[in-house]
Amino acid sequence: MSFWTDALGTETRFRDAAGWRTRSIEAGDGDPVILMGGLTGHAEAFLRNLVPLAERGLRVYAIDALGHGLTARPTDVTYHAPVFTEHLIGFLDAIGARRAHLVGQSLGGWTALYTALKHPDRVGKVVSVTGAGLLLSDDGRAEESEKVHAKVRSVTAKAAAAPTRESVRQRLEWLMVDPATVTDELVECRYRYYTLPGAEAALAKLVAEQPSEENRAHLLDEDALKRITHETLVVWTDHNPTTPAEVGRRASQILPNASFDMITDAGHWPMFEQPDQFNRIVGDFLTADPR
Amino acid sequence: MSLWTELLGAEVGFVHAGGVRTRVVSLGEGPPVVLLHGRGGHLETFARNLPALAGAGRRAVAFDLLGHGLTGRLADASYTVGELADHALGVLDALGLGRVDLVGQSLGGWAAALLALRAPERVRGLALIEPAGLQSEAERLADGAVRAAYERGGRAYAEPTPEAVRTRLAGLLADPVGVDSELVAVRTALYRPEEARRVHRLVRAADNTPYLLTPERLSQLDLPVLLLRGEHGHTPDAVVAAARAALPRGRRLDVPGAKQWPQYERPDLVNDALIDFFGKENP
Repeated sequence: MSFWTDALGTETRFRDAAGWRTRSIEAGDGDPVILMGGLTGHAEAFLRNLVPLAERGLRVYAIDALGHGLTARPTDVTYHAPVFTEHLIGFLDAIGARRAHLVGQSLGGWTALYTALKHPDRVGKVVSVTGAGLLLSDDGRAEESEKVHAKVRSVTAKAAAAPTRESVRQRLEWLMVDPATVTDELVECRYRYYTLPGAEAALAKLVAEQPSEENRAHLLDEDALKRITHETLVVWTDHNPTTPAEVGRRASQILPNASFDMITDAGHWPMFEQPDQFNRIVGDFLTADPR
Repeated sequence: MSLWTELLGAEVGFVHAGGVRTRVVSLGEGPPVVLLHGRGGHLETFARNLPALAGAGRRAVAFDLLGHGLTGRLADASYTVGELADHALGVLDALGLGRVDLVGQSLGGWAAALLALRAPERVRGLALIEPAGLQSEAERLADGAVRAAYERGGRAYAEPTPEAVRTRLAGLLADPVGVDSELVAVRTALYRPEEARRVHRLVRAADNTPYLLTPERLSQLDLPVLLLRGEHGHTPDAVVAAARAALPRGRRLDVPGAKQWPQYERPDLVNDALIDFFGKENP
């Protein structure tokens, strides 16, 4: 009914991850799972998933990525894939987790796979949800990837520059099949994060650098995907406004140990728009015995 | 806008206090102010006060009392106000809070006063909002209006429907339409487990006679104490006046347009009064 009622039973902590103050919303006991959202997103995106996944016997952490939400917004970093991974590894150290399952949506999916590639021993299972960062070599896919990249850059830059509640709402509605999914408090949170005092420079850097040409060097191409041997679930939706489902399906075939699933009646945010489907699919995958 | 957005930036967590897993919210940095809710309550009671206190340079802390909200229960507890005060002191220890300003509403006010009597070195100033304990339960319920409100409010313990919860909350307000539906939803969720309602019935049935805040006890509270009374509150004016007279350093503020929950119904006025009182009495 509201963020607060969804969150009843969770904890909101601020932890030091690699020297950066990091907000984490946490619940449950069991194997650690990190939930990570998309570009300019925030941990509230997972408030409908924390308690249900915790009830599956998992210790779940929804974190604000570096430069996002209520986490630190440094201006002395470059917001490319490696820094998000550095922050995530710092977070795993902070919670004393040698290894954690990673669930990443959009940019978070890129971070999850990039981290699995660079720090394979720190990662358990991986879930990439309408994930970014995939570069396939099929005809037309590279071009399409560039188009998506450019589109994300343009809608995000527009929302983050001189934000109003209305522009923030429009950016959020773009993520959903049903615009009514965007609640007033979701708009309010994001508006507040876009207008945090003193955070302007870091936000401008983030929205310029993350979707930049230079960061494309860190995309996961087919060779990289072949080297990620973790048990992986690629989740897509029937109405994703960025990359088509076919890319996710194909990536799941290239990844050596991956499966694919679809969530219906959802756009870019299935965890928020279709939480029951999401919690069942992701909960089943994370709690199944290793294949 | 909503509890989440009002409390954005707060830490919410569980600490172990005397073996009881206790839900705590903390917002802001600075000298601590700790707030104790009333009978059947939970930390959301103070959602309209924590941000203002934090904004005034305080660390504002509220928690679910023993057996309340999402705090754990004890199998052998009888939930007297004495046990609630012991648990509250345990929470201060668990949080590493040495000396605090303490705010308590209703039963939480009673517990706060007991805590200050037991551990005077831990409490700098005390603000009691419509505190219980100034009258015996029998004396209190002899008033027909109070008894009727008590019975209406108690229905939420038998039948935790949104309607019953709304009725209970409305009974705390001078203007009953002021209850917000998110608070109703939170309380309905917290009352749903049978175990939670059993505790609330025990809290009601507990024999608190040995802990009454008699004039003699109040006279031992040698610290600044602010009594906040709702204009339409249930405690008779004469009872509040006698309490103030017994307090060595007592002050009193009557809050217009409020009943048992002035901190919710007139938050601006109460917040200013608390900030002013704690600031002035202990600069």
